[in-house]
Amino acid sequence: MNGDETGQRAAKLINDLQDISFVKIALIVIGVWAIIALVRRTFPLLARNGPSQIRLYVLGAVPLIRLFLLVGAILWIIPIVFNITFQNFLVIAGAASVAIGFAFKDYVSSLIAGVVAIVEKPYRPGDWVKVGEDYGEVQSVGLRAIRLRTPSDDIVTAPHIRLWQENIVNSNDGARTLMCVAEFWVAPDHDAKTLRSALRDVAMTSAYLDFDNPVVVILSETPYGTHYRLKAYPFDMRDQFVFVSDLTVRGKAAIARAGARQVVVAAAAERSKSSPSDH
Amino acid sequence: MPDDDPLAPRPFRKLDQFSEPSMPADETLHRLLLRARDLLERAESDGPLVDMSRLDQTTAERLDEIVPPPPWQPVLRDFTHSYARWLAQPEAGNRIQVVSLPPGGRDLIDAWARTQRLAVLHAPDRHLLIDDPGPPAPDLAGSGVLVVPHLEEWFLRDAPGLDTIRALLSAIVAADRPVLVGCDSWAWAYLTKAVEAAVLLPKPYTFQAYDGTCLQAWFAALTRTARERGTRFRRVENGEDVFETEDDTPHDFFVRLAARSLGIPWVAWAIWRRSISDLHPDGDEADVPDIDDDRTFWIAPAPDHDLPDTNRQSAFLTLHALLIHGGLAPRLLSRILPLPDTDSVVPALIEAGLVERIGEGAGMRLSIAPVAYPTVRAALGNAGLPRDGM
Repeated sequence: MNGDETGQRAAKLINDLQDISFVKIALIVIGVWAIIALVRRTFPLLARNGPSQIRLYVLGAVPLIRLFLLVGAILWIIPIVFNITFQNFLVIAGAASVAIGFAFKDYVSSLIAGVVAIVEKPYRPGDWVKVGEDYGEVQSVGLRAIRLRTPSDDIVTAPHIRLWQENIVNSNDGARTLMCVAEFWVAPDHDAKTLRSALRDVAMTSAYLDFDNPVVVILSETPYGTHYRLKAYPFDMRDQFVFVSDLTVRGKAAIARAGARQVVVAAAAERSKSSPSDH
Repeated sequence: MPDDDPLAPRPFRKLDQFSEPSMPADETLHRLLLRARDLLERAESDGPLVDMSRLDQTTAERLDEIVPPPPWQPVLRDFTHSYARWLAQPEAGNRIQVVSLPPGGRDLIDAWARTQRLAVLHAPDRHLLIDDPGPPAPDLAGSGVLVVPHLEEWFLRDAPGLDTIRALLSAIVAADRPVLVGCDSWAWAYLTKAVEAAVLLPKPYTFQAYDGTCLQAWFAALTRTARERGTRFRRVENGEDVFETEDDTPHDFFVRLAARSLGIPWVAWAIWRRSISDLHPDGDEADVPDIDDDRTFWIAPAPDHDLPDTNRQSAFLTLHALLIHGGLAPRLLSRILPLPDTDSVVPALIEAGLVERIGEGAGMRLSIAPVAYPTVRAALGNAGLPRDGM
């Protein structure tokens, strides 16, 4: 008799309705939702107004906190709803596997990739990343997707599943700054040593420069002319576009002062689009 | 002078050994609470002894009598003490000396050179630094010690504006006479990267930070005459005389002042002067504390300075440019900043008390107000801009 009752209890997947505290579940859901909403609103505010040194840490804490809260809530709610036994676990796992395999494969794959992304950190809120053709600042890392704000102020939602399928280019990888590159093509008949030095000074005298990081000028001869790449770091990566603009404007003036002549090369210009920091 | 005399000259130390006094934890907390209270717009008063609205800032003439300039007087004593031996016998191994000072102490090295009757090499007019051709190569010929008091005035952060300082540094290295180079600490941090000054010149030295004990002794010496005539300096919060301490420990006010001023005496001097207030002569006498002084100056907390709410980015770039150049003429400031709104930002910074005009007419330049320097330094650091090494 006792053996039958135990068997029936084990076979019962869901607790009796009168035993499920829906109020408790509602409170857990509302509480977790409220805390997540609070974190999502206040942390970006703190990051924007606080010291820039901790900005990325504050932003990066948002998905972690959300993950812990969601996992905690699920672990809390499951025993309230389900009658957890080893037998039931196998039943639930089997049913979930079938459902996921047929209906929610991509969705769950994105969720798992989201957890992997939180642990492996290929991108964090505040990072500048390129996913496929889209380059922008990571606004938020959700469980299913990330939201990027592009330089054109578009919002791009990219599911984490792309993590499995393609390379993710992260321009700063959690650092406060990133390398920017200003490119110049110059007709070969010029004093390269003088111009290289002049272009270095262009970067060294930029108001946006983080002079604790190196400034490098690389040049190479191409069929289109001498290709100069002026590489430097702004003190705030959010200034990367105005920084490159500043380098470009003053670099052109330096080239003219050095008696050199810029050349316009369509093919070379196309090539430059492939690098995130050239945006 | 005995060793325990707080005003005894102290030797200069390497710039990277500068250690600013720390703020007591309760003061930090107090400031955070004040900020939070301002944020919530709750104007509850802590109930100072004197109604703050009845205080006027003491006039500049009166301040000059009780807290006379120059604000770098004790550092000059340290400087003279530190370089007396080198001056008497400069050796080949230490022919070049570099002294780096935080913003606000620009006249100190000139004053030292004058008192020692040393040759001084002044910078050319700054606008010449970006002309084509630039100023003539610096001439360091001669004998005896040469002082270059303001290395920061030999460059302009513009692409052609680094040529002259490169020529100067080469000339200093090649010269066969002793040279003492003075440089603003922010300019030094920049020049070490822009023209590799740290490779060409030896490590810079600076004064030791002024703690609460040193500041109390210095201000006590400055106000001695006034205090001997019965003048007292009392805190508005509780009426305490800040110069009356029971033992050798400094008054808490000076400990906090030292921390707030980052251990820089001319910043402390400016904040101290800003704190000294007079009570309105008219009004309800019932509100006046019953104190038996011949004359009382009230020490009110110097207000914190805030950056303008708008154009933050332009404000940061402007403040940073002023710091690394040791002050600039408005025309040159506009030239080196990439933003078009510099002309509108500068008045806002002056209004906020962060920037001040020095001089008049064509020679007028903008500079960071010493009283606001700690605020500016912290704000620039928080914004991620590279700071000086102090």
